[in-house]
This record gives sequence, structure tokens and C-alpha cells, in this order.
Amino acid sequence: MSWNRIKRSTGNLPVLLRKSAGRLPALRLLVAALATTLYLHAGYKIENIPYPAELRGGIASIAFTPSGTLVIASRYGEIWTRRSDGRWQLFMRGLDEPMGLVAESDRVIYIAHRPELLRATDRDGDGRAETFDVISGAWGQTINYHEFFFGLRRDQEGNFYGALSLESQGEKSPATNLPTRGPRDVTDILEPSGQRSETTWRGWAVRITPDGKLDPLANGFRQPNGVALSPEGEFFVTDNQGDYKPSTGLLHVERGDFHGHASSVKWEPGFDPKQVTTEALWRRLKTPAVVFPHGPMGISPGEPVWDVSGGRFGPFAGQVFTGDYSKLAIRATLERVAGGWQGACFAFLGRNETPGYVSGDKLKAGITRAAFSPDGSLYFAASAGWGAGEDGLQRVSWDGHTSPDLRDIKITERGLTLSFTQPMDPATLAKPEAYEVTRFRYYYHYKYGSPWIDEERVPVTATRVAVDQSSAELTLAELKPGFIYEVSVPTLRTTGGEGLANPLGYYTANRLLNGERTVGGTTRLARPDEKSLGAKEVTAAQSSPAALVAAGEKIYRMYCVGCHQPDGRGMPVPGGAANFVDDQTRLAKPDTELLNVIEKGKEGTGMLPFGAILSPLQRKSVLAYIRASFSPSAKN
Amino acid sequence: MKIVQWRADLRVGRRRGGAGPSKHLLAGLLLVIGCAHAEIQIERTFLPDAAPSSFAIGLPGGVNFCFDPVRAAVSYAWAGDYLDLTPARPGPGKFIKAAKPLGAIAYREAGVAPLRRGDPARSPTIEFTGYTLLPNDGIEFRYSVDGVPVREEIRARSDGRGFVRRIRPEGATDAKWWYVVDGQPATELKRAGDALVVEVFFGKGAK
Repeated sequence: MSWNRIKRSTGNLPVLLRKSAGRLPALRLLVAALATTLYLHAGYKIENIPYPAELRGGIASIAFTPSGTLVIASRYGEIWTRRSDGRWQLFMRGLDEPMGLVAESDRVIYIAHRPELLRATDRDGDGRAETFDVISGAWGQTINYHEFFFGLRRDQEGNFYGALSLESQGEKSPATNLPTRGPRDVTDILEPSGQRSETTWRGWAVRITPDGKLDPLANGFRQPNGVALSPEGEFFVTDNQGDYKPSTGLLHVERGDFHGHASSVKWEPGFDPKQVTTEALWRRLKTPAVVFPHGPMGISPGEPVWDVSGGRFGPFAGQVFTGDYSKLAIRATLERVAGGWQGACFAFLGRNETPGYVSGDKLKAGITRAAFSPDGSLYFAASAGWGAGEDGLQRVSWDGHTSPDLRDIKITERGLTLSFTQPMDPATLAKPEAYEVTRFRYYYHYKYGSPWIDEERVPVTATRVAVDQSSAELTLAELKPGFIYEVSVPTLRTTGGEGLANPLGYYTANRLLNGERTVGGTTRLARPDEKSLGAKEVTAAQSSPAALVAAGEKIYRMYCVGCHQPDGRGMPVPGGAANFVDDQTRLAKPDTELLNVIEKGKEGTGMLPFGAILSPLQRKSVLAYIRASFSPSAKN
Repeated sequence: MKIVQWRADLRVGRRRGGAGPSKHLLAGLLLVIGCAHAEIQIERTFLPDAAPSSFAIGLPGGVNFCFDPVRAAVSYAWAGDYLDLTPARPGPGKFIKAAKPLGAIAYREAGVAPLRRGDPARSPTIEFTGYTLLPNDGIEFRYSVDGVPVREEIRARSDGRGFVRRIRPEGATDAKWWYVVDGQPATELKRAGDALVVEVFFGKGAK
């Protein structure tokens, strides 16, 4: 433990330690022990877990057997198991992008990989599977790199749940004359978009019965990179932002749902292209139960897992955790409101890495796979995969110390109730001005992502503090369904004076308690006079240089922060996002060159072209913010 | 008894260098491109002239082939080194190309599902159902042809100059079985013991 770290963690204790050093060694030891016991709790500890050096391709899926054996699968098609003695064993090779596992036992593992749901069996007990049975592969397939079969979960009746992603388009997309499995339909629905459903059941969430029958349940998915069953047996997936997808989120899946992306409707029974319009689809749209606002709540969420450890993982028992590609772990809560699921989300790890909250190794980028261990710790697995992440395996455990944090946000008849992990200072808790509440929603359109629209502050008109000072009920000036409510409480303190680890949350109000809801959920269609995205916001940016920077900050939070990070230091991996702070060559380039990168992207990296998403003025404003915040002159 | 036999000249291929493979890939290649494989090599990936997720199988001794689960058949085979996976691994550029067999193609067939029951002119319905790694370096593929379960065992020839396919349809012993590929007349398969045997011989230059 360095002096600097102790200083950060314990305030004046280092002074005491320094004064005692050399004179009274025993006293120094005593004080150090006290410091360790009383002040250096970190809440959550992140550990890098070694895995076989021979494993190829990063980790694409992770699971535990009922007896506690850790099972990991690599993107390059291997499965390894870690036995109770810590020894790793190669279980099998020869899979094609295994994106999900159900580990029934040390000898039987079910795998969701590109072509099939496969059962691998080690019949002779030598630790290596030798028998592989296809449970189902009744979907189409091309050689498009972006065709995944995400999964995997199994319910108590033995049914499996997974989701099929769309094909990615682009000038380098493979030609259409290559072999496929099943029929191929390359027509676009409504508008050409970045991703397309070209073969059967692409963009669908599916159930597979124990005897292998494929049961397509719902469609409209784009890249449903996380599949889960809640403890109640409800089917949830996470989907990624993109065309027709204004933001990422946790989606509740029921038979017949339409979740937004138009392309997959072509496989619906009785599909008639003449009946498909943007408005018709919007009227069917089921928006996420919990929106993870793109930017502040990540860019590409992965596999959601429920904490059913009964408190061994800390104060968030029963909540949902998911890793995001952008060095972020998200925490979500759910509640049943007027027959539908909705809830809140918060940063869990990755945004606040101060020693008082988290210790150990740094969270990796690319942690899109997760599993709770039988011991109550949470494992994240990462794959560099798409270019800007890292390979790795990490374990997150709770050390028994509860850091002050937002525990949950729930809807009430007149507003929202915030609960906390510790009693808060009642004086500030009672002040309406301690709560900044802003609501917004998104466009539903074929374009990539969406700005926040109809954004406005919602005044808190009254508060009611619970007797135990661990929650406060906020009365809002107006509570409307169909919006996401951003709740920020940066000034709240515990009775001991500590601030919250993550003082920001987002509540998705698809419905009110009285059942009131809106068509299109948390989206609306663009009005005919809204010709450019975010026009209202960008018009304001033209008023002054400071306004331009302020507008750029909003755009940075929405589109850039996931990869470039809040501190502008990016992701330190090959192909990762630029580090504006430590690599001064990045911002030494002229505006024209940087604006060109923002507009057109950068080949060979994860930098996307934002020309179709951001107007020229928006691109200019975000560059102004980056220069103002991260350039050497900004530091001075 | 050899029912069907093809011959082909062997040209030993050379591995082509990939452009900047990752350290993982290099480690992987060291594992998979060995000529005299210690055990059966198996990859399912984007292979040239084959359905998605076809099998690249490397038998010990340097006998390699592509088994296409949509055709339920061996589409081509090569001798020597196994496979360069570099082009098929997604990286920052994302889009992928077919992996490269590390040897000249010694045998190739084309056409829809070649194994047919009864009428050789009718394309059958194929369903791929699984595979098993057999003791002593064999592999068994399982599929159905028009609903008839079939087990197909493939092993290298003892001289390493090709491989032998032993096809065992379940029941249906009275039916005629045909092998139909583009550019050749339909061949009726005869039983040898409990199996229909198809042998692929690479030719004398194979080793």
C-alpha cells in the first residue's frame, strides 16, 4: 500500500502514520492496522483471473456448472473448464463463435454457436468431450461475420432461449453468391440500413424445446448480445444501439413482440411488404424495459445476470448486472408496473474507480459476458473481438463494506422514490434542489441511434424522507409516461459526509402506475419539420464559443464517452479509442483532419463514421468540447 | 471393398503469411498447422466453396478435408499442413474471408447433397445431427437423408494417401443408395459388411 494511496483513502491518517514512523514502530503498525480495518474498505474488488495461455481468441462465453466448475469458451471455438483444484482442462475445440453456454455438469455442456445449439458430452469422463449432438440449427446462415447465435439459458422445463443477430452490411460485406444455409432474401424493409435480416429468423429471439423444435418468439432485434431468464423465468435480452435502435437497453421479450429493427419482420407469418410503414412499426414498438442511455450507460451491453446470492454480493441483491464493451459494468433494477416490466439503471463499475469504492485491477474493456459464481462473486469475461476491447477474465467480489450509493429508483403516483445503500444526511435529503431531474426520449427511425429529444428539466416540488433516512420520495412537477428520467444527486451526502459512489441514475417510465402509457414507448416519430437530428440543440450551440463547447459535451456524453471515456483517455489497446490526454499528437492535428475522422471514421479501428448521425455543426461542437477538455492548454 | 475411388495428384501447399496476426492467432496457428497432427484437428469456420460453419478436419498424418454439413459430404480434401485461419478471424477490420487450406486441393466434388436413397435424380432433404470423435483418430458424422438416420465414419488410409468413408444408414437395408456429384454419372453404392464405403485416394504423390 503506497503512501499516496493511503492518503487518498484515509485523509489525515497518513499524517499520523508519518509522525509515528521511526519513533514508535509498534504504534505505526497499530495505526496501519486500524487504517486497514476502518478506512480502506473498498466495497468491490476486481481481480484478473489467469486463464490458459493456449486459449485462442478471447472469451466469448462463460458459465458455472452446478458443482462450481468454471467453464469458458473462446471466440475461436474452444471450451476450457477450471476444476476445483484450479487446473484448466481443454474440453473441446471446433466451435464457430460460441456466444453462450449452459453447463449442465462437468461432462455435459450446451453451446450456442453460430450454426447450432449443440450438446457436447464427455462420455468417458476423461475431461474431453467426444460426442456432439445438434439440438437445433433451424435458422438460416451465410458467411457474414456478424451472424451470431446469442444465448444461452434453459428454463425448468428444459426449453432453451437464445437470439439471432442480423447480418452487417458495408462495402466489404461478402458477396451474395457465396453458399448459404437456407433461403436468402437480401431485400431491405423500408430503408437500407447498416444491418439486415437476410436469412430465416435473423433478428428474432427464439425458444428451442427440449426435442429441438425452434419456436421464434419475437423480432425486431439488431445485435441481442445478452440473453437471460430472470429468477421469475421472464425472458430478457440486451440489444445494441444502431439503426432503428436509438439506444441500448434491457428488453423484456414476450411472444409476438416487435422490438424495433424493421428488417426481421420479413419472416413474420403473413408478411406483406405493402403494409409496412415506419409509423405502423412504431405503433407496434415495444421499447426496452430499462433503457441504458447510449453514452453515459455504455455503448454495447452484454449478458445480464441476476444477483441471487442472497446478499453475498453486497447491497444490491436481486438486481441485474451486465458488462458493457466500454469499460463499464451496469446495474439495473426492475419492477412490475401496470403489467409491464420497467426500471432503472446505474453505473456499477468503471465510472468511479476511487479506492474508497473499488480496489484491485482495472475493469477491462469488452466485458460482455457475465456469470455469478456459486460463491456469490461475479465473473466478467472479455474479448477484444470487435477491435477496441481487451481479452480477459475478471472476478468481482464484495468485501463486506457497503459504499454509499443509489440503490434503486422506483416510480410512484406523483414521481420517483430514490433509495440508498446507507442512511443519508436528512437535511440535504429533504431539499428538492438536491435533485436534478431531466427527462428525454428518442426518435424512432431507420437511422443509426438518436439524439435525446424533448429534453427538459422536471422540477422536484416536494420531498418526503423515510424515517430511516435511506430513501426519499420525490414529487415531480409533472410525471409523464414514455420518457427516460435522468436523476442526478451530486450533492447528497451520508450522515458521515460521504458522497455517493455513482450519483446518477436513469429511470425508464414506459408506464405510470395508473396504466397510462404512450404509443412507441420512449420514442416518437420525427415531425415533418424536424429535418436534422437534434436541430434544436445545435441551434443553441451557434450562439457563442462556450455554447458550442456545451453542446459538444452533450454529444460527447451520448456518442463518444463509451470508447473515449469520460476522462478522454480512451482504451489502451490496439485499435482502441484515442487517448487525447496522454497522446498529445492526437489533438495536434488540424480541425479539418479531425473533423474528417469524425465524419468518415477510421479504417482498421473501432472509430465509426458519424457523418450520417451528426450534422456538420454537431461534429464541430464535439471537437470543440474535446479540445476544450483534453488538450494541453485545457490542462493548463 | 472399394466402391468408389477418385484419384488426384498431390501438390504440397505452402503456408501463406497472414498480415499481422495477433499473438493469440500466432499461438493458435502453432497449434493447428502442424503437418503430422498429434490428434484430429477440427475447426468450424468460413471455408472456401462450402456452406457456412463447415468442418475443416485434419486427420493425423496430414490428411485434411472439408465436410459440409449442408451437403452432408466431403466437398474437397488436401494433404499436408492443415489450415491458415488468419483470414477468417475477425479483427478491427471486422469483415472476414475464407480460411485457407495449407495444401493443394487433391480431391474435389460439387453439387447438392450427394448421398441419395432410392432415386438418384431427386435431391434429398438433409439434416445434420452431430458428430463424434472416435478412438484411434476417426470421426463420425451423423445426419439424416430424407429422414433416414445415417452415421458416417471417416478415417485416414493406413498409407496416409487419402481417407475412407464408411456410411451406415440406419435400417433401410433394402434400398439402393446412390452417390451423385456434378459432372459424373450417379454411382450406386454397395455394402461392404455393415457399411457403404467411399474411398478417396490422393494418388502416389500424396506423401
